[in-house]
Amino acid sequence: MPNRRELGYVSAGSTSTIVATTGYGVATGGTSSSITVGGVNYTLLTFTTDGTLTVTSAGLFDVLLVGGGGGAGNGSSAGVTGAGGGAGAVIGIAATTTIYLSANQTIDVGAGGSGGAVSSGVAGTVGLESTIGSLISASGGGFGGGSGGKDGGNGGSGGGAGAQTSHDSGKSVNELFGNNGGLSVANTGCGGGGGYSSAGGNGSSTVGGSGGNGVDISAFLGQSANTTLAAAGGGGGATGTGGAAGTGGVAGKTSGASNNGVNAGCGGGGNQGSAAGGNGAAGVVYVRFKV
Amino acid sequence: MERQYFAQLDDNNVVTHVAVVQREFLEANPQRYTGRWVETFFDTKGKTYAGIGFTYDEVSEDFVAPVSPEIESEV
Repeated sequence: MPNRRELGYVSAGSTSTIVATTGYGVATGGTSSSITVGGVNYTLLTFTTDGTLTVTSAGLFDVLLVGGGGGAGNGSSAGVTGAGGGAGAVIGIAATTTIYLSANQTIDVGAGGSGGAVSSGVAGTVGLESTIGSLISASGGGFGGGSGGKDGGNGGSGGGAGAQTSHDSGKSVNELFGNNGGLSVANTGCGGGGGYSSAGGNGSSTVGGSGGNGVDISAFLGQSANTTLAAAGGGGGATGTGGAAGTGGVAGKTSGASNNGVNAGCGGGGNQGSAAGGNGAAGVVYVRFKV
Repeated sequence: MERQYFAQLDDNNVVTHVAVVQREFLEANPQRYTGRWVETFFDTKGKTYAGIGFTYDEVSEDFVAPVSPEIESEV
């Protein structure tokens, strides 16, 4: 069986075009549905939780993976804010990613990161990667920085910078699959998390940075445009106005219940220190084959 | 299918991994999910969603986030 490098593929660090003469395979696992993309019929297997991809006939499979979103940071007290979490990486949307499989594969769906606790001053936690066996992985999103000495975390997309100018934003580990987080200029307006389609915005003295835009993955799923969005960064927390939501994402807040990521791979929204930062949303793994 | 989340704990009850996995699948695959796992809740009031580095408190049956070791001077 050819290994991943012979197939011209390595995980999140490179592009993923595979030229092969073999046809599509057949597999089961996850939640199965029938879809049509460009007049071609496919079986789509959707994994929203860990599982096993059971390959019943070796061949090619199109895949799309989204890593878990990063958790937002938090401030150490009221009036001190936390940054938005970065989005998980997305693999298989910029160009169709096709892999050859001849054996069953473990599917791991990346969990989202946790938001910083009330008045903790800590950053969120990083989102976790989504994987198909050891063949391919999509990194989780970087955590949003907190006020207590944390830069934004690196990840599929970077988390926003924690309060104060001394903190840096998180960076995308590979700009093919995400963007950087935004910066902060004071402890009252934190940076937004990076999204798949754009970087997180910078915070100002009272307004949080906007979350980076996510991406429309509907075409892969045979859906109308904008039916399914993924991988937006969370807005930055602020004392005046929370950072705006990026496309498919959640806004930062100034108080109250946290804004957790809602679409796959989206970062959590930042908050003021008197309330918790938002949790990042879990990722997802899609596998489809022609029928 | 509603997602479930489980946190893997080390000997000190510190979270080392968080999995998105149904309970039945986790219990049926002990070779894949080794060690001790405790359910955590993503969006439930009164419950803290676990992150890596959090500590599980067996009394409150909830997860406790770490506290920043050094709060920097704040402008």
